[in-house]
Amino acid sequence: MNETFRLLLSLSVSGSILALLIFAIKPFIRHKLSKSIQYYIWIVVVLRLILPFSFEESIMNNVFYGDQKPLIITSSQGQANTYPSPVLPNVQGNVSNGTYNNDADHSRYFSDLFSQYVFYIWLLGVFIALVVNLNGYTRFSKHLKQSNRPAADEDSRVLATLLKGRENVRLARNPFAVTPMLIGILRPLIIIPDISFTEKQLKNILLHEVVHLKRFDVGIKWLTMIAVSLHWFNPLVYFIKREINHACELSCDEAVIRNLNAEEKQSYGDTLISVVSDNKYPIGTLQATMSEEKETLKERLVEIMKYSKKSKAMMLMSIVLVVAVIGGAVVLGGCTGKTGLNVSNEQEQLMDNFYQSVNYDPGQDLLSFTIPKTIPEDHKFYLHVSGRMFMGDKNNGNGMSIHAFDEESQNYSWENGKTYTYPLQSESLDDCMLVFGLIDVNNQELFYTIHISPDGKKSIDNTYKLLSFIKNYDEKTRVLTFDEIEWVLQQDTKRVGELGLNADLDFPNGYYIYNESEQENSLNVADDVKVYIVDWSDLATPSITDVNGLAKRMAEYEAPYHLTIKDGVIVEILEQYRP
Amino acid sequence: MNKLAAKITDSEVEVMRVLWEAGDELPVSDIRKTLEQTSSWEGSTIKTLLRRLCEKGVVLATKKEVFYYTPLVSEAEYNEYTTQSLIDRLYSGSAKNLVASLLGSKKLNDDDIEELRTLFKVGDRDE
Repeated sequence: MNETFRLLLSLSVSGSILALLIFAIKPFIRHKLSKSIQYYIWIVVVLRLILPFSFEESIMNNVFYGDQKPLIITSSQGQANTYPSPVLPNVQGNVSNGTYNNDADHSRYFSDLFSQYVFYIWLLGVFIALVVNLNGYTRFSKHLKQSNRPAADEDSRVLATLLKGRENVRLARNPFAVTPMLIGILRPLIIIPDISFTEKQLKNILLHEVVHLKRFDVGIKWLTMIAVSLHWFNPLVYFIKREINHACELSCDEAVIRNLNAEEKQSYGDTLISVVSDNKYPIGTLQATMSEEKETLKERLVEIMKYSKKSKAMMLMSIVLVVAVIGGAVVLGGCTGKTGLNVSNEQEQLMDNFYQSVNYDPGQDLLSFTIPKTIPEDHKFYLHVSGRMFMGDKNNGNGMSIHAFDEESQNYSWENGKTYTYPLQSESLDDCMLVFGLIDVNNQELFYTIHISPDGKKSIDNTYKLLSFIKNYDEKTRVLTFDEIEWVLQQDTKRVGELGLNADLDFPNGYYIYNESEQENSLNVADDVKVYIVDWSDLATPSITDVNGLAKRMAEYEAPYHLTIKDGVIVEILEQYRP
Repeated sequence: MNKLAAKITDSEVEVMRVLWEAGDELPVSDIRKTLEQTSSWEGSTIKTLLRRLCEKGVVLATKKEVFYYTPLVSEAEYNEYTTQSLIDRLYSGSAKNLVASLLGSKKLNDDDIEELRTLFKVGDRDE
């Protein structure tokens, strides 16, 4: 699954859980706590839906990353390498190499196909939602602003009294505005219908809009729109939007009437009724939505009538609730992944422990390492110990390869928790490598290589090399299918003996290609892959080409290739000279 | 006036434009002459449109030697109506998501208003 989509999905789940909890307690708090509190807790939900901030042990991080957390290994240089979890499954590649052959009901095929396209479907939905909203809004404000008329001096005077000169907002009258409104974030503008209001009505209307302005409600509305657009597939967000808009109006009324006496409150409510009753325009045919409009207004009027100052106990409870909701939002988190230097998790710990256990003592000529005690479920521990020794004089270039623990490597039969040792003579040691990693059930592998030099120093990197025949390269999906082999030299008498080869008969050109198993693997090829092929006129310097050059070469001549794999992607392909 | 403007359909507007342009009452022959240049309507179609406009009360027909037609809705009134309905449509579409308004865009009928006025009486209980 794509990382962005995974994160989004986790935010959606996180926000939904929070919203459901609030819906559940709503009947209990609705008439007890202040409307502002009820508005603020919905803002927390919207922020939870949008902000990807999360701490390491948040619920969503654990749910979404489970046991395939990214791995972090601190190398000997003290740097941290982060390995993201595997990318989108490659359906075409898997079809071609038979991954789905046992997938009787095709469920895995379809689920992979689904997760491959679902990200783009989501992206398209977000795009459409944003375009519809922004286009509608832009056209609305353009048409409305064209018919704006400057407010009367009287209007501005009333507004100035309410603002006490603090806020920067413009005022306009508009014959097409059906209701007074506040529009714009950066340059806020209050638009009131161009009809005659009494001074009292005007004051009440402006009081309401000024509260919206001071509380930055237009900004909250934009955030809500963005949250709904991002989570368009989640039906709950539409309920959340309705709730937050409703809570916004109720709490705005509450803020307006907080300091009003009974008479002023009556006047405020009467103004609401007057504005909605203005019969300048024909009553449309949508009688059904009217009743919703009526119910909303009715509720607002009832709340204005019932308003009373909240007790200290209720205020305390409000604080507790807000803290609890924010706490809930933080604990739920989102799956931002577990990255960073101080991160600790099972797999990373395991890899790091193994790295620490590797030791080469040049004094005793002994290599030792300890297999991790516990391997995560559904994983196999892979380890291959290999290297090169000089034969005779270091400078004559003759070498002998080391292949230790072949049996354990091939059958994954390492004994958990056991410490293995292997003798290596430091004076003739050239290089020793331990390629290791975990392989999961889907054969997704992330390997690391520990290099050991004759003086006992070790280093780790996230690349590894293997020699193989390339079986197929799919240009469209950039998937390379290969069969790993071993290159045995005639003079490597130890290895020849180990493999039971005949040094006189099996090496017509001085080498033997040993293929233990015909098993094929597939990996993606990096966009900037470096391809080197043998230049027959100058064997010492291979010529650089690209995947097209590789395809051409493969059609002409079959040779093994050295593949360099980094983060599970092939980054370098080098042809082995084959006389 | 806006109630009348709401009744004008897109094809009827074409006929109205001719009347607005003339600025005077016109017989059907003159209307047809002008419309023939811009549309492919038959004479009967134009007559039907005019009859409908008369039935709606948007156009007044006066019998002289032939019928003369006078628009009862001005072009300005019609334009105002279309702007209003466009703005209303945009508002209820997505714009209301992004503005902080006092109330919704819908108006209530007199019965509902009466009901709300009866309901809304602020007492002095918490003063």
